[in-house]
Amino acid sequence: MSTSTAMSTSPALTWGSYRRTITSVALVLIVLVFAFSSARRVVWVDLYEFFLWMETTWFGVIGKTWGAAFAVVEAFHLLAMALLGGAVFVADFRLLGWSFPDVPAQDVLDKAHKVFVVGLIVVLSTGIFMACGVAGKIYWLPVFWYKMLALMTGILFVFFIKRPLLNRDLDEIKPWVVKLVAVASLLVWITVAATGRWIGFAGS
Amino acid sequence: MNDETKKDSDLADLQTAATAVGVTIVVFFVVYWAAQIQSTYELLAMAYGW
Repeated sequence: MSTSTAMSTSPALTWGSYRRTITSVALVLIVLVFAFSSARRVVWVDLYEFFLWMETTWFGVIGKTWGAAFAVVEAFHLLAMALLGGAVFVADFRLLGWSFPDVPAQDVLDKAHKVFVVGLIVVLSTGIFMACGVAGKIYWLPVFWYKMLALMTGILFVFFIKRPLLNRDLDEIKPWVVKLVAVASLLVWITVAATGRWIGFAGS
Repeated sequence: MNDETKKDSDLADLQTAATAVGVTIVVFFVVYWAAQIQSTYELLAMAYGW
């Protein structure tokens, strides 16, 4: 390759090579601009009709009418959160070197991820049912919106960053990046669980 | 670009993305929880006259 050809293709090659980084940073900037602009309030006001509609769905009617049904679904929601939280703690503590040091990290991560996915599916499906039952309450709670932010961040982080990165040979990855990913993952999922519990304590 | 170069490039991209997003998450949620702990402390201080 001649020098001039190499120089003309380098920038494109560099930008193309960092597609995931550019997408991630762009997404973070979009969320920040949205959070600190009037667009957030406009969207929040527009969503009111949607939350009112949620209470009129089958899920909403069942959730509001039969407390026992809501309680049973909530029990499964909490059990699934425990499953999901357990999987996150096991995987991230292994990455930090705090648990299962004798078991290969990749084994722990793969098995924990399977449990995590099952927990996440149950959490999301039961969570939608519960949200319909108390839509008129959660709409007004800032903590609910922080939970949604943390949940979306957690899901995108796991499937877009954490899994693709940790599918590689861990010896190839810088150790501090592995630890940073584990700490970020723990913070996100602890926030999801804590804010979820907080919704239960918050007044209507 | 050969396979080895592409693999290295993908790993560099993943590590950079993980660093950028990881730092953002840690900073955001540390600030969030610090603010929550501070407001809870102030509420308790008002309630009990600390």
